[in-house]
Amino acid sequence: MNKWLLSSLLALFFAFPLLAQENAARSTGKDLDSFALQALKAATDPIKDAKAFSFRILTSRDLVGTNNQIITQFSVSEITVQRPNKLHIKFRGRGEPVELFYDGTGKTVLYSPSVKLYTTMATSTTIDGMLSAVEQRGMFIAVRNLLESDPFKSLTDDLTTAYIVGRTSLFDQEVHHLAFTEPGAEWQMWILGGDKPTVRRLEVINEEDPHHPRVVVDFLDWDFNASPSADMFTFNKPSDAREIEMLKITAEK
Amino acid sequence: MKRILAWVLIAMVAAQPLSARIERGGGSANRVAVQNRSANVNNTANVNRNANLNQNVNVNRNVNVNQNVNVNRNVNVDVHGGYYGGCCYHEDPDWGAFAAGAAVGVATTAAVAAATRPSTTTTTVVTAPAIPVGSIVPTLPGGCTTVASGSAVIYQCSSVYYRPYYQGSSLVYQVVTYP
Repeated sequence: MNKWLLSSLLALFFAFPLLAQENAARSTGKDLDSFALQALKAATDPIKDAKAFSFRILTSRDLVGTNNQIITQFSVSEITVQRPNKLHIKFRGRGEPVELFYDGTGKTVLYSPSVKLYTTMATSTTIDGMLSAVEQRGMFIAVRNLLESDPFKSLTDDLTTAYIVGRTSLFDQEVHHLAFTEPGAEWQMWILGGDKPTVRRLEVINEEDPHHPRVVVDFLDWDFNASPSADMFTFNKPSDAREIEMLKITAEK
Repeated sequence: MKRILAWVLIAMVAAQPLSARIERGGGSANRVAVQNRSANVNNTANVNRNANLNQNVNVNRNVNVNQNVNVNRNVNVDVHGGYYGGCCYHEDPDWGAFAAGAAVGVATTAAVAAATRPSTTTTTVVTAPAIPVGSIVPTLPGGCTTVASGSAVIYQCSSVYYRPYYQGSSLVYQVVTYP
């Protein structure tokens, strides 16, 4: 009797994720167009498979002002990744330019070369863990999902709907327009087609915030054969650079 | 048997995949401070209005000019990025000189007025607001020096002290008390 019960429980254990997924699909109305997922995978697999790659992004990010209106901030970032666990980002937005160094040894450094100030964060030896750790410290990296070890999985695990809107023109470039939703957010992606599809634009609307702030990212200069220098990911501290702290995150008033 | 059942249930819960989310932004812990920083220049605007009373035809247009002053100054807020916390504007020769950082400054609406009514240039003396301790700004005003304060980096700009921090991926400066 015990063996029978144990077998039943084990069967239930293995079946549970599938059952849960099916139930979730019914309850949330999941509707995933396989062609939309194929297009997304075609554009993100080169990011996953490249040994090293680089690209540039133009980001506009909505924040909410204390007067309850949307305040938009702009930035430009140059991003270089060497799989499996090296990342370098140059941020240029408001204030001084900042560089992020991550060489897979478990610490991440932010450095402002113009004023020679830096901070060091203990993070992780994996790029996924590092991205999660810096996010917990208040750092927003708009393309985080694409930097993770499996971008397609990172983007699709929580999807509710996935559709192809169709072919369209994005600033005179022919692109494939995809639309997705997931709990608390909706997002769109525009993909340049051809032999080597690439992500051209991403827009995300945060529906968890009543103001529905939006993040818009334009992708430029993809290079899937990048050859970054060996020291690009390691912070070599200038002798006169000084260490400062991260500002502590405070709860919204 | 109960123990087996408990372990299986624990394993079932643990086996659920952690759901990934699209990076969505907008969830900053602190809202961007937005406030009216034009109190002092409104004084200037009033001076203009008074001056324009002598120009009967232009009274209505002058009202609009004053509104333009505010709009232009708001543009300056964004350009100089002072909207985190009560900081002042820095002078911008392209937009006209506004009160900037000093306890007492001279403000003129020459550049603003020039676009529509060059003859109304007026000058008045205004008092710049104090910068509250704890305010955060993305850039320092000019003329700052480094102050020795143990291991901390502190900048003195006029009579205001700033301590640099990283906030997210940005370098910011927080107004602090004298170290």
